Amino acid sequence: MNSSFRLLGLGLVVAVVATGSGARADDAASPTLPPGFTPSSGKLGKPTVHQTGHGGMQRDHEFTFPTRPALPGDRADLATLPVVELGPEDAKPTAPPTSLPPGDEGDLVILKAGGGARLSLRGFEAGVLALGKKNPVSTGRQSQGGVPDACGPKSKSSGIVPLSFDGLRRIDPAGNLELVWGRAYLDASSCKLSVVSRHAVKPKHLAGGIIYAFRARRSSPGGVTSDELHVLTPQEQTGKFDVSVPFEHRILALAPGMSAAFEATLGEISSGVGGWSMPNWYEFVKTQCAVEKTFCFNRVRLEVSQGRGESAPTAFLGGDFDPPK
Amino acid sequence: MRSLHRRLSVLALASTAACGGAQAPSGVAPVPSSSSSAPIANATAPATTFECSAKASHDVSVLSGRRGSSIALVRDGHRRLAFVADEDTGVVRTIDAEALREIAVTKVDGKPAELLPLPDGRLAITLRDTNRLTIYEPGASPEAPIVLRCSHATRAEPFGLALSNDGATLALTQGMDHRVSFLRADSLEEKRSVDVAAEPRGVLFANGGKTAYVGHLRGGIVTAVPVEGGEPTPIFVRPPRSEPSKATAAKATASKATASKSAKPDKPAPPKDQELAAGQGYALAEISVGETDHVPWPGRLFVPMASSDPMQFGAVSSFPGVYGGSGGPAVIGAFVAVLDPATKAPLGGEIAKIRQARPEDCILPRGVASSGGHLFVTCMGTNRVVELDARSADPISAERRRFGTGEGPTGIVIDEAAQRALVFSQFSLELTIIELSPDKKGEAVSALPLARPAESTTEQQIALGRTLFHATRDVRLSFDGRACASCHPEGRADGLTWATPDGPRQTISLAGRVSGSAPYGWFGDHPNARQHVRFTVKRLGGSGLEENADDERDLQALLAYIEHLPAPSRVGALVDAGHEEQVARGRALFQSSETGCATCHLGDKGDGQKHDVGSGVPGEASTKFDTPALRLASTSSPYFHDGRYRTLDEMLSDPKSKMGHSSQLSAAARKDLIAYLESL
Repeated sequence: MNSSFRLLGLGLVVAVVATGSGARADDAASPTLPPGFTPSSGKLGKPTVHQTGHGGMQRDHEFTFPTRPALPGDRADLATLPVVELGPEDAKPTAPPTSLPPGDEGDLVILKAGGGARLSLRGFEAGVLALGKKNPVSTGRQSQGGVPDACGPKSKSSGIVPLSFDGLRRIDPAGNLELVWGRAYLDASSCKLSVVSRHAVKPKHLAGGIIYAFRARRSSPGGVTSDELHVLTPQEQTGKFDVSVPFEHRILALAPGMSAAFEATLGEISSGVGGWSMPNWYEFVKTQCAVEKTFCFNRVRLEVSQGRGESAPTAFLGGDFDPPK
Repeated sequence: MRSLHRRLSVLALASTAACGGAQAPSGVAPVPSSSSSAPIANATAPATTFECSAKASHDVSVLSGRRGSSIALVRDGHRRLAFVADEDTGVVRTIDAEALREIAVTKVDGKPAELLPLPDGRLAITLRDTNRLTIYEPGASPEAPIVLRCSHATRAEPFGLALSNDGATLALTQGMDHRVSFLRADSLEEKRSVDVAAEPRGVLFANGGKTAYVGHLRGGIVTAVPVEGGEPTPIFVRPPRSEPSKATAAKATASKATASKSAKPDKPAPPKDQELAAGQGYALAEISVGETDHVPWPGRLFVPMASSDPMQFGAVSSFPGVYGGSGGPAVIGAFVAVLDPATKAPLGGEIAKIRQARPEDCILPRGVASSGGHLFVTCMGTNRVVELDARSADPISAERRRFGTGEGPTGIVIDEAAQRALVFSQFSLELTIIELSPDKKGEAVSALPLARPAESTTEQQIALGRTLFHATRDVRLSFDGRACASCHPEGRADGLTWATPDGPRQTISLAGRVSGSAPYGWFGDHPNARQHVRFTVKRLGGSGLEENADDERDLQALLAYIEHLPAPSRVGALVDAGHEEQVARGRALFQSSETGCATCHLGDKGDGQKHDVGSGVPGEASTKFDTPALRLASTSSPYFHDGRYRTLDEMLSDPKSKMGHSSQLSAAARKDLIAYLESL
């Protein structure tokens, strides 16, 4: 026993010498230091940073390359979103048919006045129509807007022209919406319409109502299915369209091993197009813009991603709003 | 009780043997083969198996995970301790993480790069400059110095450490020997050593511990290395290229049209097939972003890096005014690679289209930690920690918060119990404490100064130079926030060829190569480094270092740092058998008239003359280039001024080359010659 303690004592002494350290100071606050080291004050303070740079030019540089603003966000729950089943008929046609397929005009309407025939939507507070390869156009609650001279003698189109449509309407005071969307054909000569696919869904609102979303499962003729996330937002401030539309309908692919995202800047202008904006959006932007009146932009970013080993996609929703709870 | 005492005694004596005489083994031990999985002979490490393998004398639980860093957190008894690897002063610091007080500083036998506490209480530490992996254990009390258990020879530049999920295997990266070794965690016996791409750094076990993922200083890859066998897989993590806006694209088209009209017909076009590149892969993290039936999904891998666009969208049709050009998105930007371990591929997709590279975010990332689905990345240069959302597939753009730190932050660890992040700032020798709880009252960030040795005036000047070298937002040095260290990480090379006003130019490594290699520049136009540095910052669009006394002080400091950059440790404590003989054969070839190398290259130096070796192309300012010094040339690939050869072997075997006569050599002779060149 005694010899053990002696050995232990010797070992510890040798260890201290071996590491080159001096004996520990008596003061409990002083660290054990190697020779040549000076203890610090031990007091917490501000981090030390050497300022470099060059006065005014430095400020110019920082203006040109500003710090990226924070983008707080949180997970968005995709599992609770409504799901729409899509079939082969919903796929974009490779070429229009030579004759009008069977179908009725559904939510579409041809309004004739003054020798012209205007294509529009009816029954929606806001709508978007895209005829052929033309830019999308807006429609309003009394079928204002739409495509002028879409058919008939004044039309520049001919034959059977494909079109797609999206119509939005409020269904309750809480701001819940219904989206109706689909595909149709227009006979440019006879002005007859045939809706070949139509879906209605009540998308769930996210991010305080600035985004509405639902999921779709698309089946192809070969039996392959693919999942999609459909997202409705006000038109992006720096949007892809050359024209103003009241909302945008985006589709993000959901698949293992994939990711998809959109980031948009929304502002007073984009949410107030033609006075047809959905009330929820207007309220949202108005609230946000009450804080910053000069330049009022609201960023929204929605991402979906799924690793191969993950059983469901993960959605990340971030932006200038209170993260969803 | 008796056995414990005996063990402590033996341990203490063992530490005497290892470092008591300040004589840790430094000899070079041969290994029988360089094949990727051949076992290697034990080196000159004096430690017995017992010293390395025995459990530490008292229980320590690890709080900072299975990945090495410059900082780690453990619970020792009732106290939470942080260990800090301080490369500058060659010490490991012990900090009471609760009282926020430095309690011990232990000198170690080299520059500690990373440390990793093992579950049995031992502390593994890589010593980068002396090529050792050492095992320590906590002292008898937290206030006592840590105690050396054994010292194990490694290949050149041991850096990253990670422990497998079952605690049985230790992964070790070795930078200059571009190797990852798997060692038995108990005895440090090498089970397997794998050749990987250049400059491996951080390492992490994932995929249930079956695969080690390795970050690299350069090369735009993360390497997946199977632990039990099989070839390593390089995973290209080049960040997605943002789609230019319509306006930018139109401008670029117009610019190209103008350029093609005005350009001289003999003006050479830089290569257009170069992808965005990436580097600075110092650290990795694994985070599961969801669960099914309370079972977490496989973790995603996150690798903070920096992207480079050396050829400006790969579409530079005329020589730009500054290195890499000044148009389009940032030439250097921050990003975090997200890998899917199931596919060993980036979790890519549409994210590419909205990604925005910004130079100011975190272009010199160093350390990473995770907590609650968030990533915390230390950013050298901006001296920040950015908190990112790991549920984003492009986490750098999903920044939640940003905190200031002391200068030169490297490692970071999360103290979950205190809801704090602890960051080691290597340059300012401080521990930055970040209060993470949003409910915390008072300052969110504070810094604990650490003990330091006295510094000479020269050392102070070099320290200032290092700060400037890593300054990412100094308008004097670059127009867009690039740092010297962006292209010269650790003073080395990013392995890229950049569009420059003179034509395509590969980045040269500076570390250990600046002093005594005048003249400078590919045309040898600058007789001293001072002129060349001033010239270079202008070429980066910086306003320059010539205005006032402060600029002069900073220029002197920058030069002092560059000239004192330590040369890489190219020869490890373990080398292949027959290496020296091979070098000798190569030297003879180099000096022979058969190759003619020594006609212009005087050993590791140049002849100070310019030569036309047929490498220039019409349109360049000159086709005669300065004979480059060959000292440490192997650390500066690719080769020739325009980086046309990726390897020395490619360069020496090109039959069209007019430089020397080496393409006729046999493969074996060329290997000898390369071994000699790599020894310079």
